[in-house]
Amino acid sequence: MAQDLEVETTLIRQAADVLDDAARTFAGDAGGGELTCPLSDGSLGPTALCREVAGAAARRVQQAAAPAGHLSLLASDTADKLRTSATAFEHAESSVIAGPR
Amino acid sequence: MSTSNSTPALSAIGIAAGQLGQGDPVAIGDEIIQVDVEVLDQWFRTARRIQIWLWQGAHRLSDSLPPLAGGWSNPGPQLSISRQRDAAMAVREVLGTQVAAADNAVSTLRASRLHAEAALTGAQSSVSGLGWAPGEDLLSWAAANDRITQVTTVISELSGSVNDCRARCNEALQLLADALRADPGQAVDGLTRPGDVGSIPLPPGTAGRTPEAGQPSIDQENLDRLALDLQSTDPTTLAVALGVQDALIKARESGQVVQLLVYDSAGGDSQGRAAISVGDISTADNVATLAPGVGNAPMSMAGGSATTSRCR
Repeated sequence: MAQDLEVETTLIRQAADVLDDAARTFAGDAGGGELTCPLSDGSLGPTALCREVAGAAARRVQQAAAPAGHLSLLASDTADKLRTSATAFEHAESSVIAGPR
Repeated sequence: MSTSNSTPALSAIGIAAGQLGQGDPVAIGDEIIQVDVEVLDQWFRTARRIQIWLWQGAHRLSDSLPPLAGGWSNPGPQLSISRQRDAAMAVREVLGTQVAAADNAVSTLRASRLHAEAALTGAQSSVSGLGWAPGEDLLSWAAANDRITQVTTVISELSGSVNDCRARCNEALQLLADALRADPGQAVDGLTRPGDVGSIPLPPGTAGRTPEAGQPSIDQENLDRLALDLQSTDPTTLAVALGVQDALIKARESGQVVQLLVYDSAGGDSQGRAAISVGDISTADNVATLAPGVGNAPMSMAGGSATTSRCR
């Protein structure tokens, strides 16, 4: 069953502003730069376990920064789309053809 | 970073342990002391910061939901944002497990370093307290001075102590290695890539356009029907749909807004119908219509698109 679409563009734009803030928060202070791990192969000791942990720690923290950056881009992209939608709704509303007199 | 092996007493203990057929407890102690715990801690401080960004970012995503729910009755955008928030929390959770394991490893390594340092210092003091003079072979001196029991006790207690420390360190590092097997990025793999159309159900006609280029969406239903027909297995429907698609592509080459004003699928009893505007018909002051001859069909309307563009 079809349902009427209810839109309030001021609120859509308000949500977009909050999403922009979310995007900045996800980006943190990384500034988009790649994190450099200070751990070297032998930092934690000479055994295979120590080397495994040093390597995995370097990799995983960098891998955790990547999704935070990805979520930042997604939130920013979603905010843009919401603004585009709000503009389109406003345009559509203003261009509705009046009925016959 | 200190190396305890440099003192004569510890060197003598190491040599004596070897003579007794034991592993060198001084070397084990040094290995524990030399672990760069601070670098590990520093690296996981970065991970803790990322955790905070994820937590705060997820909360800001949640904050966007009430105004969006009030502003747009379509639940699609809210679902899309909720998925992003859930992914952020999932990444944070995996990272949280890894940070907790790293914290545990850091505190165990730090405590072990202190214990190892204390054990080495204690052994050194004990040997010196027995009256051993630097430069003498420890075991030969102990045999000559009836101190074998005391010296072997010092060596075995030191060995026990540093081996305990090493076992605790290995256990903590193994837990950290296990925690690090999970990929924190996996939770966002299923999310739409930025820039993709589809994560947010845009109103008709706005997909992929910037707000500045936003256009009225009077043709979306027709475009949707055309998209369906392009998947059709009916050869007539598909052929006409392809013809209309070609005409749209050709018309867009003019750089103008192109709208599919009319589109009826071909197939069954219908030959199909299509009308394309070059320029935005909803804002046009004047509209000129070009009707191709009776021999034309939607299948071959691409040629007409070029003519229409020239009319402008």
